[in-house]
Amino acid sequence: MGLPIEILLVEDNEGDIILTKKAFEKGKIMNRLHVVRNGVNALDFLYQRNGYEQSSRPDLILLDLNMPKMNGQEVLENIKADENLKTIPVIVLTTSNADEDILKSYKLQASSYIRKPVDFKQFGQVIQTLQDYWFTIVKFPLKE
Amino acid sequence: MSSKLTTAIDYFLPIKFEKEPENKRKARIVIFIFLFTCLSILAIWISSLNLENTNNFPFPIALGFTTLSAFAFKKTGSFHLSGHLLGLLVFFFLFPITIETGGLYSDDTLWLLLGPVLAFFAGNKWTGLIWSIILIAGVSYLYSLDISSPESLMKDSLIFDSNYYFTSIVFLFIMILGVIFIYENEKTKLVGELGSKRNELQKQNTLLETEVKKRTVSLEESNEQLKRSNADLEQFAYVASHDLQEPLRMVGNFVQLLEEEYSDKIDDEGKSYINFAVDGVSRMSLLIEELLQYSQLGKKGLEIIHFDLNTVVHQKTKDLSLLIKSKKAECVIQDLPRINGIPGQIGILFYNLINNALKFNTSDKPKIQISYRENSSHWIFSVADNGIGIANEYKEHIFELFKRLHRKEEYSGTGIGLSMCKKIINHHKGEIWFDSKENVGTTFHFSILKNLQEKN
Repeated sequence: MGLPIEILLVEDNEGDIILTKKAFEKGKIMNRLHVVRNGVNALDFLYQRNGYEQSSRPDLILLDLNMPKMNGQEVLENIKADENLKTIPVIVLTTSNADEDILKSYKLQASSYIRKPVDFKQFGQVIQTLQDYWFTIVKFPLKE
Repeated sequence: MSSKLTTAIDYFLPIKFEKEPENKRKARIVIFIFLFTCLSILAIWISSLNLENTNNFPFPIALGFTTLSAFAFKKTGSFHLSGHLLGLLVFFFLFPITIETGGLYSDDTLWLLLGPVLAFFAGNKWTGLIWSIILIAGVSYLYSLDISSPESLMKDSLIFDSNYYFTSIVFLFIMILGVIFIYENEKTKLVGELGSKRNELQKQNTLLETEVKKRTVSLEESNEQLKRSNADLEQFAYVASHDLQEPLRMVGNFVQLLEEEYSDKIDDEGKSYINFAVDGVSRMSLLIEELLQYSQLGKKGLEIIHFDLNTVVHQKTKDLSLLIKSKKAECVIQDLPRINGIPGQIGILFYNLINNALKFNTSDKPKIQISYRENSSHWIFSVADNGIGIANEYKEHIFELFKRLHRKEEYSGTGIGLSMCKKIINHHKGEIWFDSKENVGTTFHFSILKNLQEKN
């Protein structure tokens, strides 16, 4: 397999960051996980500014909804409003079904939702399924 | 006035003047004049008995009738009756005189008009009308008498010839005018009273209106409060489900991570502790989730729509397909109707019932049958299984919140499912009940009102 897949994780909870890293480590596919801890930094990363000049365009964004400064919803709105960025698939991480309800009510164009699991084994399976689905089945829009 | 005279006069006072001192005083004066005149005329009549005038019988009649009128007035307080008596008096008194003094050509004929006029003033327009008709009849009778030689008779006009007849008429007028005066006075007073009553009523009305307005405002306020606390409650449910899940996930995940990464350093006992911890966390998580779902059942904005039940039920069996497969269960679902309801809630209802039918089933070949029938007002659905059944003694309790019939090690669950079903059925204006036989199976039945109002 060629280049590792670039993944941007937007998440403020240290615990979840560790768990996601662990889950991806166990994955079969080579990947590079970049972590930003709030919405503002996420946009800085995507626009390669304010200290993120060296960042590369991610193939996939994992986005938490509840974050300080700028929440996931606003980040998602920003991404979908940008002609260049809107082709990047965004997977929203939700804590509860209630979050999904909110997302649906805002009709944001997230590519999919993942419920953050209570069970780590289950979480590992979810990440595995996600990798299989996004990196082997779905054909990504070509990078410009 | 001496007290004896006052008592005598008071005897003729109408009863209804008892409560009106002003009218009573006026009426006393009128009756005093009446009595005085009566006595004077009586004296004149007695003194003139030996005169040569033979035609003096109308006078006692007049006296009799006026006295009668006074009595009627006292007893009934009715001007109506007095009107009739006075009309009758005039005709009895004047009609014979008119015939004697020349019929239609007599001067006295004109006096007959007094009948209807007195009847009208003392009584009302109806007594006046009746005596007008009697007057016309009387005049017609006079005309029919056809007295042809008026000249000779006219000279003997009795009214002007006889002193006491004339005095009688004058006294009558005084009497009638007195009655009319008091009547008018009373009427004015009555109108005034009515006016003040109306004013009072209006005041009361205004008072009532302000009261109603006040109530409306306070009602609106409490409505607003209720809306706010409802919103608070929803916010609370969200925060509870969201923020309670967060730390729980941390505990669950890291305990498992601990097990995975340090498995060589943890012995079997340690691992069993970890299992207990993980199990507790996942149960707690399920509990929170179902509580949230339960609390959101009553949420506003859930629309009742017309939808195909087949789609919803098949979606739910699909959600449960893993469990169905692992249990090797068979689902037989009748072709279901389109109904009015809240699809999300009906989905939860079927999910819970099918899930229960599978969960509480130890048969080698679990079978679930979903069917329906209808009556004039409701759809009635049935979910039947061949599971472990429900003991009769629990019949009353199974729909209660957090009610569990089994140890959680035997059958998992939170005890929220059936209470959720009950709440959903309440929203759909129906009922839920079941038949069960232990170790044979259970059939849940529920009804849904057919013409639930669509809200959109």
